[in-house]
Amino acid sequence: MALAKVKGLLGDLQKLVGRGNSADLAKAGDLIDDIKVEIISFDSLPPLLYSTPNAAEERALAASALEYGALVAVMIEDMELFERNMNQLLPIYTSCPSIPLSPLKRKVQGLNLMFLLVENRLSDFHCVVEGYTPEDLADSQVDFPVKLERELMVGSYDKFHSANAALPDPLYEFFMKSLLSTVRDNVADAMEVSYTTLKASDAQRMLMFDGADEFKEFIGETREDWLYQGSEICFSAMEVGGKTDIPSMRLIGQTLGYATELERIV
Amino acid sequence: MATTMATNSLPPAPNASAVSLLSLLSPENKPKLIHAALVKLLSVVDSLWFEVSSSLPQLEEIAEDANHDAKTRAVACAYFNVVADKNPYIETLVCKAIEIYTKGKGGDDDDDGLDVDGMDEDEDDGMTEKVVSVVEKMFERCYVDRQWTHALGIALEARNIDKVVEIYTRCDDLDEKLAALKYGLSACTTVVTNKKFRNAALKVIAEQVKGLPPSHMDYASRCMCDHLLGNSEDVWKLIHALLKQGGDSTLMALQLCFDLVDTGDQHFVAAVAKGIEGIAGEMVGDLKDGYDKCMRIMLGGFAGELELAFLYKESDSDPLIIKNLKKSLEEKSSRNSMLHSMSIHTHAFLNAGTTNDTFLRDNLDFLKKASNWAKFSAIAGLGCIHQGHVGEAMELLDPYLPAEGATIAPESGYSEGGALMALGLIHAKPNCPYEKRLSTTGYLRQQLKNYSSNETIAHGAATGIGLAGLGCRDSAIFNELKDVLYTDSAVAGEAAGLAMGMVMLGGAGNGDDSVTEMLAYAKDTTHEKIIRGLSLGIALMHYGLEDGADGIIEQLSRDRDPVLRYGGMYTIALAYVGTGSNKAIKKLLAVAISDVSNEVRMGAIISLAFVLFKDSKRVPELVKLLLVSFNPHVRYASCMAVGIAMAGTADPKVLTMLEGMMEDLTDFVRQGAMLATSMVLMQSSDTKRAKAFRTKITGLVAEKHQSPLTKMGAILSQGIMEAGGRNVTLSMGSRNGFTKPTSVVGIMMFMQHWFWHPCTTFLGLAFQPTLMAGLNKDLNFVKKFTVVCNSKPSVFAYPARLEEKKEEEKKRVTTVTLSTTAKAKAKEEKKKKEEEGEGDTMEVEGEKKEEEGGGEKKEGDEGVEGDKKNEKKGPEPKTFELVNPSRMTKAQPKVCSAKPGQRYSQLLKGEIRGIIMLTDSSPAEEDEEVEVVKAPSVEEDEAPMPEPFIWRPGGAAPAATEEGGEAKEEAEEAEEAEEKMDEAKE
Repeated sequence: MALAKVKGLLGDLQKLVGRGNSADLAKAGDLIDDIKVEIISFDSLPPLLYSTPNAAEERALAASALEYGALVAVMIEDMELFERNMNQLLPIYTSCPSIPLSPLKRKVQGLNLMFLLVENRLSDFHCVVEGYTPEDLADSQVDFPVKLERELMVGSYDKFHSANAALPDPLYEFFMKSLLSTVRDNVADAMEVSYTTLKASDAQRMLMFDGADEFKEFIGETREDWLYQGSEICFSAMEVGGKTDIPSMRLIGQTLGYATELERIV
Repeated sequence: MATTMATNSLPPAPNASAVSLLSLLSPENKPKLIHAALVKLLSVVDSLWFEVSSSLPQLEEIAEDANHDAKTRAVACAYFNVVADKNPYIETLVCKAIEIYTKGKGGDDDDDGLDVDGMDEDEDDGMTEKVVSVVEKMFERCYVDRQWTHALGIALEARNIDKVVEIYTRCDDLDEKLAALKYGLSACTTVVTNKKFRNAALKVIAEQVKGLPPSHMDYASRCMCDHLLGNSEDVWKLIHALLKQGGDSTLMALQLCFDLVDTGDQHFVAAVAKGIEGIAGEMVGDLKDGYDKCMRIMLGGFAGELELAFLYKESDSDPLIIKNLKKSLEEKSSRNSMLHSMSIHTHAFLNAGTTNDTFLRDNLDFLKKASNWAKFSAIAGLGCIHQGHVGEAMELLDPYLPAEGATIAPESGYSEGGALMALGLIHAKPNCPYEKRLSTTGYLRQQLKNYSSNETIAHGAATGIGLAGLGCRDSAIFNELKDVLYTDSAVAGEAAGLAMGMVMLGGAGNGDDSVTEMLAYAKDTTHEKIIRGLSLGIALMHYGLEDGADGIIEQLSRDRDPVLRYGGMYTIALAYVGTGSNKAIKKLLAVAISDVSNEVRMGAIISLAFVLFKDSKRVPELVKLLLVSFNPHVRYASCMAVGIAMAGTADPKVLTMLEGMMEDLTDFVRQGAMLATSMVLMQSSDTKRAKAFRTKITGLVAEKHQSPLTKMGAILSQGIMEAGGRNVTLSMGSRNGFTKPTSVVGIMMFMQHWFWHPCTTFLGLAFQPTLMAGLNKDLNFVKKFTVVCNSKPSVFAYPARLEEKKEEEKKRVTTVTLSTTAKAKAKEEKKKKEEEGEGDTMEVEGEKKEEEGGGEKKEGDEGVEGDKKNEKKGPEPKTFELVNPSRMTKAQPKVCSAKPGQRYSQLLKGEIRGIIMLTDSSPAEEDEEVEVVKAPSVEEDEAPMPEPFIWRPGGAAPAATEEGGEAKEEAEEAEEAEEKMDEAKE
């Protein structure tokens, strides 16, 4: 009974998501909640995982409903909703490897990795990647965030920029935007330390801005202490690393303390 | 939905995770979704509680959030509901709650200020109302299930006095209440470390016990409670009331008196006795008899007399041990005076309390070899042998005591000093007659005055005063000793310092400045011996004061002088003796691994054994790592700590631990290992290990290249292992769980033999007779009372005596053939048995189940097998009977019970150990078969019965028995000895 209901709801959901305008998406969200209430009663799903007669079908249905849920979350740009969806979905992937590969699975997997990157949960990221099969990794949707992470780690921010141009799916853009601002912050920090002054055009290129207006907006919003001096930007107002004081007296005292204690023990 | 309901009870998949459901609980989700998730989660919470537990705050929010409908909130509440369900989730939740609760209230810190009055005042961070309510519910559950002791345990651990009261008031069944009270009492004496709370809890228990109706009155517990609280008035009133009732109540009163004396708390006994004395006028007619007996037990030293009679009569001391020892020492070409002196100590241990000094009298030549301090120790050893023999102490020691008006050269006086110390040892135990102790102390004080110029005699006299006046807290004596101290003589000053401590044992809390004075003098003097004497004296003065001694402990243990720090360690040991206080243990362990002085570290480790003696199993665990320390002193001390703590247990694990230490590279570590092993093996029967150890230590003495220190250990071990005619054990606790001051002082002083060999003798003070003695209303041994011991006789048998050397040699030649034939015979026997069926093996298995101490038992069985091979006996009986009185070793009472259907039965149910009063089922009949309790020899006017053993030749003895004849001979020998000693002096 519940199964039939979920099937029906899922059909509606697919239609709504296919249309993709904001009113439909809001409706889709409600629909997903209804489906979730239904699938909670499925004992074939984690954590119970009983092998009921309809287990295979139930699992497949639940997985695809939740996949849609994840997509909808990205579309309405709600990261928390996305995370909650994934929390429900991932246990199904891991504990029911037998369900048939759904067309959306790779996309959701890739989006999940992007999400972890944005959240800067790198250990989780690597855990998830370790769990993927070679087939999973071979897919361009999954491969994209994996490569992206490597480049970010080595600091090749320029490649990141070029990746921005080659998104495997438009849905990735939401996460890319967040990532880009993180990257910009990093680059800006590096610039402050590395240069005293820098040409505005160079700075704009380094920060991966296409237009001067966007660049100025960025400075206005996040880097208020940067000064325009003609065509150059001056960072000298910044304190570049304080003089590091070696607390010699304290260290000497501590070492002597250890020595006496050591002598006592021996 | 139907399937859901049906499968709810099944567990989820093994690798399941509740994370998917938990993610649905966040408040962003729709209420209906949350509700569905909550319901589902509840069905898996039993197995996935560990995941759920981290979301408890979320659940709590849902339960309290008004936005949710009542149904949802009800489901959320279910997670916190712990009424009657028993499942893993709830148990875990409750455990956590109780943990927080006990930590919040009590914790294991001893030093936090304790609030006894109420629990609402210092609400801790972790102690939310929720936690309290969970624990409250838990208490309710305990009440419903009638698990009073469980609830009590939590209440005691949480130090919540209100709960303790509540539990006892809620408990309506009298039998259960009695059990709960007993449990509370034993928990208070063993587990509760905070003194303040312990007293508060004891007060509650005492009140509750007093509220019991007469049918369920537990007099022993009541008396013990009042004793622990120091409430002597209630105790004497109770005894008074019992005496007035007459009949069996008199027996109960007598039993209580025995229990009181057994605790060794002389001040309390004296206070009770004084109270009873005050109502002596009421005790006329029939009651007079009971009153007299009570006084005889409490002040007249009846218990001491009984112990002495027991040790004398039941002594299984093997004269060959000391003979062989003498032989092997004489065989050696180079005579070592230290080893010789140790062998005399060993003799004293072997015969401690048995009054049997025949060997010394027969071998005066051997004795004469002792000179100077060795002579001192030899004579002092007589005090150990004659411990408690107060009747003739003066006559016995007369040949050695300073003669009236004689002048003694300053460089001699060793035998006089030793005799004075011996006198002290004889009168040291508080179960000696009160008057005798007083008069002896007076005599010793006089001697101290007469001979204060002679260091040696002053040393002996001061030590003697310390012993005879142990714990009397007489400030006049204290001041006299202080005068000796101020002569600044190293030898006499040390003894004076120690004696000051012994006299004022536990008396530092009275607020005078004696401790400050002693400390000031210790810092002033240049003699290390005096400093040590004083610092240990200070330690003794803080006996049992617990946190009252914290100030001085801190002061001493931070001092620059290692000798004072050493005293500080023993102050911890004595102040916290038997409390198991974590604070003390922490401090001791810290010093044990970090102090710069070896002696201080030793002191700290040995002190662990004192603090933990009630929970002695922890000591081997604690010092296990220290046993492998690179520092030999630490290893030695660890051995000794284990030995002291586990004395008389024959624990196989501990023995294995010590066995390794006997092969240590350092000689004195080997010594320590042997001493410890001998303590652990005290009173063990002829097990394989005990036999092996015996062979090892006897062989070691004769070895040529062994270091003297190791040999010293081997010699002393022989004495300790078979001490007191194999009828005593080393124990700091009394039968009822009190700490015995004499034993504690004895062991502590024995450990000072490291610095001063005459201190070795002090161990005699710590020996406690292990006996079972059933007395009737006339305080006579009842012969018709038998006790059945449910184990094979060999398990608790005395070890076989040694055989004369000649025979042994013969045996040694034949053993080679014997072992093979024995094996063959054993095989044959086995075959036979198999043919006969498995009857015998079944028996053995049954036996093993019967007793919990499996290891010991097993070894016992091995011993049995050995016997079988040699003697070809039939199968050993499964039980055996003990006649009254007889030896009852530490482990024995567990398997013993009174034989049913006897005329006499126990007055108090419980372990048959120590002195027990027996009720007579047919009091009208005269019982012929009784035996009067009499010390080997007692002055005529005290005992109405004919003397078995008369000392004075020409004394007005009614009929000299055989023993009397022997005694006469002994007396003559003593005279000879005196002459010979005099010769030796010249």
